[in-house]
Amino acid sequence: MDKPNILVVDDEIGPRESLRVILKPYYNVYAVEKAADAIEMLNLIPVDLVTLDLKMPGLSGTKVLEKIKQHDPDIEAIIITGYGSMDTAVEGLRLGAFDYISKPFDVNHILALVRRALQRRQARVELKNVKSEFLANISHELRTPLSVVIGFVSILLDQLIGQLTDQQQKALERVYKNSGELLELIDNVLTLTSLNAGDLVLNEQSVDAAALVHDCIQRYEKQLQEKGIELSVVSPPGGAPLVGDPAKLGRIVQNLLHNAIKFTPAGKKITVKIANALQQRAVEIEISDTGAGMPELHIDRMFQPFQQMDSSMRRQFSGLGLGLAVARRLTDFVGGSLRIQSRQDIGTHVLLSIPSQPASAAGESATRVH
Amino acid sequence: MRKILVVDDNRDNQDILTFRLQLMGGFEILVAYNGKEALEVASRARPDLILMDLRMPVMDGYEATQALRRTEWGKNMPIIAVTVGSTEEHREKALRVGCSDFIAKPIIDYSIIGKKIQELFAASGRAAEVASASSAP
Repeated sequence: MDKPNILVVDDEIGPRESLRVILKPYYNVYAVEKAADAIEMLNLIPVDLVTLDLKMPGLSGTKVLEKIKQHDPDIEAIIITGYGSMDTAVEGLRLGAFDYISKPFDVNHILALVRRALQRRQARVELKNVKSEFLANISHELRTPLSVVIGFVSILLDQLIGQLTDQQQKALERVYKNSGELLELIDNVLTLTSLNAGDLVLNEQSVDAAALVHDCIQRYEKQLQEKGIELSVVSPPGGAPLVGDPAKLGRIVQNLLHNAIKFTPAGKKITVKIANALQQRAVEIEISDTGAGMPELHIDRMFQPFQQMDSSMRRQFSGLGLGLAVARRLTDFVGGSLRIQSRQDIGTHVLLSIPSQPASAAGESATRVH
Repeated sequence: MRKILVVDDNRDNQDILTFRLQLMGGFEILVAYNGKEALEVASRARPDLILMDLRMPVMDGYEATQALRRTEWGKNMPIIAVTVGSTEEHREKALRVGCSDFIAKPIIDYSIIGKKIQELFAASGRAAEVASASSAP
């Protein structure tokens, strides 16, 4: 394995150079004087551990530690304290530092501490990789057999290997529909699990949100027809261009649509409106249905996974309410907002707002907190 | 007749895709069950297009695509990645290693795959024409 990278941050040349000399035989050591340089260094090299003097001029030491942990929570930090400044050490530990070292330095103590901190980091990184791999495997193992079921049922349904009686056709349509529901459920459970594991990444690119919404609607055409729900779409003539993550956005819209269709009784209407909110630098997607609606009190609860209305409602519309929870969590993840207004027996109005510029380009104000 | 190589480690998925392609008509279908087999079949039979699963034992679809792209005969071969799950990460990685296009399984609308195949055939036909025109004296 490569030598771990250690970043020494200290404004005084004495301790900075001592640490460099102590650590150099075993590690790649990068030493910087100013806090701002430390942050810059994090973007240049994959830092495994930082030693940090918390009492530095300029950007305060605790701020730097916060920034480091924001950059990568698995970077270990060791606080360097002057003689008798216990309070800064405690503050550092509170912010997630591994331990602290007091000056003057004890070489063996420092080396042992650094070794232990790096061991903890490695264990954590390995655990994360195992988790991600497990999720990827599970996802593949669950979807593969289901895609076989859907594949063969669609061959039968298209009457490619023989004619079906009406009853056979209807029975297979139910298998097909339920397989589709199971596929969506699996996707949602996996998305939620990845979100909880901190395993989702943003893949931002140029997309037309209007085209994306149209694609999502197409997936539900059959269901809309069957239920006799009229769905109308209003979108800007030039589309709704944005830079964002099309897969996440697609899942959000799909879940919201799925919900709207599910809770709108046969013969009623759904309206989808896509608009460029230029001032807010966002694209807004409104989905209004004339469904059963829900009491305001219940909306917050709907946003929690596995909760859904009361038991009578649950009997009428089965489902886990997972879709909305995933939609909300993903909306947070992409830096957007999701609002739901609903009135019982009148309908539900969902307003999704997605930033049209990537989070990284929007400046400090868009810094996300997970 | 155009030759299409279908690569998938799952026999059932392999059969579904092969059956659908046979019904579209006009193709000779070849099969392989992992990336290594795909390379062997492709170097022998020189298919006109490959439908490549990505997650496979022995050699996965990413690696097989990269290997194909390093050969003289395979560098412009149309390769469509076909994989379960539709995450952008898969799509992006597939395109990065050299796949020409990407389709998520289960395939809901088979007319899309037919259209993609025809598009790629048209594009590679044009490329071949350009190549022969430029090499003509």
